[in-house]
Amino acid sequence: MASAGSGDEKAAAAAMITLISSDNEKFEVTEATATLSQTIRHMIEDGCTDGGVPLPNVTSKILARVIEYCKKHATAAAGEEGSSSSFSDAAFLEVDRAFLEELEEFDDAFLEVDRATLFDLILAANYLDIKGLLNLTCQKVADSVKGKTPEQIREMYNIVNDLTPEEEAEIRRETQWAFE
Amino acid sequence: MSSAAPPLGDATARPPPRDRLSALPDGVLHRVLRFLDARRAAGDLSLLSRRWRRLWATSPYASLSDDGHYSTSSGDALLLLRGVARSLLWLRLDAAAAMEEDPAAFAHQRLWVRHALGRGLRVLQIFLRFDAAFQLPDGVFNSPTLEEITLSGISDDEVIAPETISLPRLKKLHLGSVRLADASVAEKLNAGCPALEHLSLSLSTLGSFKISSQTLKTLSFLDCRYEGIHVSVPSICSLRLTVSGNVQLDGMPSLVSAWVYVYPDGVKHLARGGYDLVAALANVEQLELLGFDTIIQDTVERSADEGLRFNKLRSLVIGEVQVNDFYRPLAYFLRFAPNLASLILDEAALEKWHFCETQEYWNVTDHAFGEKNHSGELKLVSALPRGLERLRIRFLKDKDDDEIEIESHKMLGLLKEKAKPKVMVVVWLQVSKWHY
Repeated sequence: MASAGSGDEKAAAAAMITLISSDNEKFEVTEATATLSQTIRHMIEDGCTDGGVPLPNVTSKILARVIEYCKKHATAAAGEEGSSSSFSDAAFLEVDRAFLEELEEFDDAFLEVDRATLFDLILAANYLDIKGLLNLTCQKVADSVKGKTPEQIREMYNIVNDLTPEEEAEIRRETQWAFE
Repeated sequence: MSSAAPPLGDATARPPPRDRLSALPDGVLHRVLRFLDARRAAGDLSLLSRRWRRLWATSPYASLSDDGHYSTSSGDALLLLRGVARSLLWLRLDAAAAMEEDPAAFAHQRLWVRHALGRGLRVLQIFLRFDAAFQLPDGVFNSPTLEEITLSGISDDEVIAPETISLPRLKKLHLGSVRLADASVAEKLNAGCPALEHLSLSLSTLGSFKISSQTLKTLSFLDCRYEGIHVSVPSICSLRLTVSGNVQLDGMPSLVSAWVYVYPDGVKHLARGGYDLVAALANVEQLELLGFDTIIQDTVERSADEGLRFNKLRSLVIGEVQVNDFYRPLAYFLRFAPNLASLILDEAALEKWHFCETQEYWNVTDHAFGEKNHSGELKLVSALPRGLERLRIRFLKDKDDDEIEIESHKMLGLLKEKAKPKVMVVVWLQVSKWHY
């Protein structure tokens, strides 16, 4: 009779990776957590993670948050490009449903950050290539401009309008169809 | 990219607040725009600053929704005016506005799809919220680049009848509310999608459907009408199935989770009273069975002879009209599942599974209620295995509040004493409140 997977096998599977933030703080995470980042996944595949993975673009404060996200999402199927939740039937199992709800609550709470942190998270997610986190944070930005006028959006994000009145008129002419 | 040197001069002058949004790389801003209608991105947002002027035109994503805000011809303009040589990897169409019965319905949208297919499209998502067929162009079924196709309609008129299917990179296919022209569509899918991992068909008419694939991992047939489904997918991990016709499941050694709902008259279509269906699920770790009443009873009788066991089963959900009538087959069934850790018995699942968008009913727990004739429930207690990690029971009863107090009290006491689960939630739902 085939024996079930022993505890030792499981321990071996949970290999640990050390991530090093820009301010030299070290974070120990499981491979499953780390590989939510495609960037890190590729480094692992190339065998260049001995002695830790330096992440010079990510501060310890942001890295801690990113790891928090990855830990939570590591058990869920990695969000793939273009997958849509609105037509998903992944949530049919009772256990999955409960878990997905928990994830949603986690994501909502996770996004309760100030704007500076949100941008730091976006840049970290982009650099580390974590699709789920990038989509989550980009959607937050998109939601914030919904229903706003250009002037309101400029004000919200300190965008300087460097268009001359002539250029502005030209854009309006060029994209008139969009307002039809 | 080097940042500008800080301004010299008056040390007390505060630098203007940073515009971190515009400083994001193009790829990230494209991703932000993806969550907005492409026409809004091209219209309002291009007026923000020079940085934003051409962003819409270089984005590989386009989301176009007909919610009455934009004319369909503006979608033509958008795609035409995007960078000519730009690839378009992701196209999402939402059609929500009511439309007259019109043979030309979606003529523009079909053009958009064709346009995108010529630009390396990888993901196509179409969501229709009114009753008309989209008439997917045949090109959708013959694309060297498509990785995901979603068509979610509500019309019965969407006939899928491509002459050929060649989708070498397709991984996900979701079709909702479609009718497969004949059995050859399934054959073409089998042969033409060598990389397919996820197939989902819902609210559709399938006729006689045989899926055979070496690559599929998840498969779902939900609320479909069919004469017969034959699943020959050895690598399948996850199966969702509503049974309304004949079902044949070949060996599924890697199956981890299964959700099966047998329609009230579904069992008559099943070979050996459904025994073969249950036996095909013997490897799963997570199992949800809805409407299996008589099937499990039959299974129990045969299992003793044929040695059927569910050794890997960790989590079981049973949805029945009356779980307390069910104690005897359940008791037998549980004997074949020695490693069960979590058990959920649910009287409300059958009515509600396809409506259950929310979990609010789990919160209607304050007022439990019981019934005078409770022998079924008390017997149920004795059928439950001891020491489960998790036990949840949801009763749906037509009784009044007063009887609840006493009865639920008694039941909970018994469960704690006999079954001793580590975590237990017992919910009594009142039918009147439930339907309210």
